[in-house]
Amino acid sequence: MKITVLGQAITSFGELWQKSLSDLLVDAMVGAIKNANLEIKDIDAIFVANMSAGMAENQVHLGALASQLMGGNKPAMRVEGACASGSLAMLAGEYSLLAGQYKTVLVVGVEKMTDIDSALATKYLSGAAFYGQEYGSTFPGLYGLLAGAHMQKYGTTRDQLSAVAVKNHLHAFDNPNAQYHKKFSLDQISQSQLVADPLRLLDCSPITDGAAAVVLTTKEVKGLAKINGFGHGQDSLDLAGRQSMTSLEATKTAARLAYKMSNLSAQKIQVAEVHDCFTIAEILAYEDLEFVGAGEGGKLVATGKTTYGGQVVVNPSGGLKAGGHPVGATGVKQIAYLAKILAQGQFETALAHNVGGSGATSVVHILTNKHD
Amino acid sequence: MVTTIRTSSPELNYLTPYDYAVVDFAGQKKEFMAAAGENLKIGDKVKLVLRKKFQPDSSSLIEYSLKLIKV
Repeated sequence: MKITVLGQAITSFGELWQKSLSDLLVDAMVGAIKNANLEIKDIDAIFVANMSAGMAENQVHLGALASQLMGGNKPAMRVEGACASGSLAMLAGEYSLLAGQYKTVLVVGVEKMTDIDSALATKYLSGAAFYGQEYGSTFPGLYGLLAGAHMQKYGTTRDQLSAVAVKNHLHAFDNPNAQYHKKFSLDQISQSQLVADPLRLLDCSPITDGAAAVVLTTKEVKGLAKINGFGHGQDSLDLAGRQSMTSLEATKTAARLAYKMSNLSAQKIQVAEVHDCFTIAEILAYEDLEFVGAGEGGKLVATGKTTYGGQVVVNPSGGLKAGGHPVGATGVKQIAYLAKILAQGQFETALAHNVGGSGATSVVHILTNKHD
Repeated sequence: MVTTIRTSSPELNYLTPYDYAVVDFAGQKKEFMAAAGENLKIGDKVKLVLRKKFQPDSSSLIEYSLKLIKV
């Protein structure tokens, strides 16, 4: 498979009150095209990832909006899968290249959520759960249930959850676009306000505005990152429909498929951007992505194995927790960030892991800068 | 499993903190809110009762759903 990440751009992530949804789209799309040394005429199609613009901004039909903003009336579509929207848009773009329909596509993810209050944002985000079967749930609540189950079954501790947040906040200092550049201690995380037991405020990723875009092409370009493999896993929308409350089967499926396609194992992954919407989500990711066995994720982070000098560097960008989580942009940002650091030669093999809802949807991508 | 939700959507915020649980009904799992004032813990036996979903304003329909109380 030959799909190169020819260009990428990530906007600042944060409370961007001076930027509209359209501004963010343009910043990311223009940035990625310029980074690829291309013009809009070189792009065959646009894939737009977004979850909440229809609610928060009363703006749907984002494919048409992105196409108009870029000029040239390029064919465009919006892809939605809650927090996995970005990686699903990546898949849509990749499938179109592999099918031979297009040669060069633009994938952009965008979200604008800070113009509404947090209660309304909570309500809109809860639409990623199964409304009829999970009424009254919130996302911190659903992941609180997963955290409680993991702690009960494996003895995962409060400090191990906090270690994820401490690490990602430290990593974010290397990412100028991260939402937070703030160091925290274990105690500060562990003693922050309860949101949904046992999860506390600083276990939770923030509400964020932002956008990210990548240009994908079928041309192989030495020195740039290429997509080596991908996998898409699915499970029940509601937690109660799952076989396990201590792992995400959708991630396990996606990882298996991605490792098989790329002919690599978890042990070959040097750096990963994983979906740490909550600290427990990163611990689950270590186990479901086969970085470590079941129940061992808490120990992995607490002993420094998922930062520089460890087994695998997880969330060098700060992840969702410190980098920010503009929902539709996150999956694209993960690819853009990893493509950038692979092109810089810091690592050779990378993994991106993006999850929708409480784990109903999961997509794993594997990237490398090695070319045959 | 059970969690206590302390921040919720606009129509439910007045009920916080409220419990939310995954319940085992003879091998089949379902999720429900607990009724107001109920404090659940793992292992509690519970039953379902009909309660207002939330407090409506004077012109809205009153919606009901099943919620949990301890037996």
